[in-house]
Order: sequence, then structure tokens, then C-alpha cells
Amino acid sequence: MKILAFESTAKITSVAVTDDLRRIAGCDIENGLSQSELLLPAAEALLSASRLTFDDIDLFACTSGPGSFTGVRIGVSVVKGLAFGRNKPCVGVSTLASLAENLRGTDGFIVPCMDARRGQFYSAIFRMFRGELKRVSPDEAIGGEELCKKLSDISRGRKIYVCGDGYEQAKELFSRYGLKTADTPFLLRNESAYSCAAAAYRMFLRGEYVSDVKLSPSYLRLPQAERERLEKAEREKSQKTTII
Amino acid sequence: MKKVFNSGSAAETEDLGRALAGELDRRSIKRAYIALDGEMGSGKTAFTRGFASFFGYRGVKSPTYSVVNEYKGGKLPIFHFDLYRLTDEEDLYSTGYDDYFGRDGYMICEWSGRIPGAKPEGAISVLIEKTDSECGRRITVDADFSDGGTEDEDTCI
Repeated sequence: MKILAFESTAKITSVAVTDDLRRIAGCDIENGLSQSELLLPAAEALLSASRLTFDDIDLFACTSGPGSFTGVRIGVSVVKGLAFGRNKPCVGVSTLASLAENLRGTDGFIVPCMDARRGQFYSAIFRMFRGELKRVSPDEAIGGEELCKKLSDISRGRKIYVCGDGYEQAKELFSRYGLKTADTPFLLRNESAYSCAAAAYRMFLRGEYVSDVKLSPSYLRLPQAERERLEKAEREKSQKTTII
Repeated sequence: MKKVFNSGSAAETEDLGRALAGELDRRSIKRAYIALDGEMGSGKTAFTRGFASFFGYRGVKSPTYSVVNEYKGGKLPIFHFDLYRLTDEEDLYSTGYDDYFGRDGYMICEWSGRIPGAKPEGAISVLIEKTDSECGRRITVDADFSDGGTEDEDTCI
């Protein structure tokens, strides 16, 4: 099964083409250009180098957040656009689950940490269990201190591998807190579309795919417009109750 | 380093904005965050208009409704924000505010003090206060240029 996967939720722009888990083509770009300018030309170049077209793709995938608000929207929109009309399935992979794929096979806890600014990380805890990558905690936006506390309860002195664009900050923070961190090889630290494709393939096998219409971003934070709508609905509800 | 300037008109406030832009340019500072605070009508947009004009940008308007105006095509882009309509950190995320950090260019942000955590470390602060005279403004610029270049003390425009 040919998979085209996009990663644009962090600083890096990454695109990969795979056949099931086998990598056919891939690229990682970090050159200052915006992801909206890069994703499609990169995909076109990779496909053309592989003598493939968008019509040969069986599954479209992207990381659907958490991450940069703009980046998440770009990735999800691109996949929606490509799958629309081709009637092909889509998979939205948690950026953190995709990052954990980078370290599949390691022996400790895997803790992807993305910079969520203002002292916060987007993070989740994973570990290998009986040869499978297992999720230990859900994706969340969490303060550094709180994450340390949580990790120290869960890891109990076992090794922790960090990855993601918050690598340096998180690793430094964890060490200061007395957690046992291992060095993650440089090439395994970053968000990657190949990891997204691998995670998407496994999700597809479990039946966790959707149509382009159902594919949606997962911000972990409610967009301003949506919160205003909810607050308004809440106000109207309470007004109605008073009238009754 | 804190410096206080006096402005007697919107045009003088613009001049001061232009002077700050010139200073950043002279020092080859490619990324800066300028926090602009001051009550309604004090001249935050006028300051920005002057700042942007140094780089050849025209048509600067208050981004109160758009949240951000981007001025591009010159030497460096300017991202002109107004946080007046935003209420908290969640808004900073979902307006894309956070995504502008780490890009070359100048972020100039009106009402940056409204949301705790909006102003990053190392920001240049510009506070505009009305004085007793009708058009008079006291403008306090707090900037820490790391190269420690010499500056004239308390220049009044």
C-alpha cells in the first residue's frame, strides 16, 4: 500500500512516500520558507522521483497535532485536499505518537516533548511493552514541572528517551529534576513524515482511518472562535434557564 | 536601558518609531519583538507607522480587527499585532501568534501587556503615556541591545 505522509506541525517540513513500512522517498526541509509553500512542491518532487503520481497513493496521512496552530492546519488541509475526490482514506496521527515511532525498539520510556511556549510542552508518555509501542498517557499541554512530577511517578528510575522540537529544554529540565534521561541520537530527535507514515500504516491496519471530511485537527487547545461560540451558547443557556 | 522621549504630535511619535527602526537596522538586528503599550489613542499605531516607513512600508493600519497585519516585500517583514481583542494565552495560540516567533523580521505588538506571557524575554518595550498638554506624549523605550553600542543619552526629539 502506497502512503504519502506529511509532517508540518513543528519547525521542520517533512514529506515521505512509503510502501507499507518501506521507505520509498522522503525529505526534511528547514530553510525558513513557510510550510504552505513547501509541502506540495516537496510531495510532487518525491513522487516524480519515484515515478509515481498522486493517483497512485492509497492512503494519505499527516500529523494532526498537537503543534503549531498554523502548521497543523496546513498539514490537515493538504491531506483533505488530496484525498477529496480521489475517495481515498486518510489517517491523522498524533504528532506525539508519530514522534514516539522514531524511538520504537528502545528499552525505556519514550517521551516526545514539543515546545508549546510559555513554559509548557505538548507531551505524552510511551514505552515498549512485549515488542509493541504502548501509550502510557494521553497527549496534553503540560507545564514542565508537572511533567517532571508525572514522569518521576511513572518511570521510577528507568531510562527516559526524549524527542521532539522541545528536546534540549525538556532534557535539561528532566536532568535537573533528577530523572534518568538517555541521549537520543540526533537523527531520531525531530518530527518526521516517515514516522508519521509508519504510525499511519499501523493505524490503518487497526481500522483507524477516516474520510477526508472526517479528518480533523487536534489542537489540545480550543481555537478562539470555537471558545467564543461555546461561551455564547453557555450564556444563552443560562439566560433561558432564568426565564423559565 | 531605559530612555524617555517627549513627543508633541503624532508626527513626532512617528519620527521616534522611525528612529527605533533605524537603530535596529544600524545594528543589523534581524529579529526583534517590540511591545507597544499605552491607552487608546495614545499613538501606538502612529509609532508603528513610523517604524514601518523606515523599511519602505506604507498603508499601516491598526490591526485591532484583523489581529495581525503583515508588511512584506521590504528588507525584512514586519508583523504588526494588536492583542486588544484577545483575552488569554489560548487566544495567542489560536490566532497563530506563537507561530511568528523564530522567523526573521520584526514583531511589533500593540497592547502586548494585556495578556500575561505574550511578551517574550529580551523584548523592546515602548510605553506611550499622555501628558497634560493635549497632544503631548511621554514615550519610554526600554531596550537592551546586547552589543552594548554607545548611544546618546536622553535625546529628545
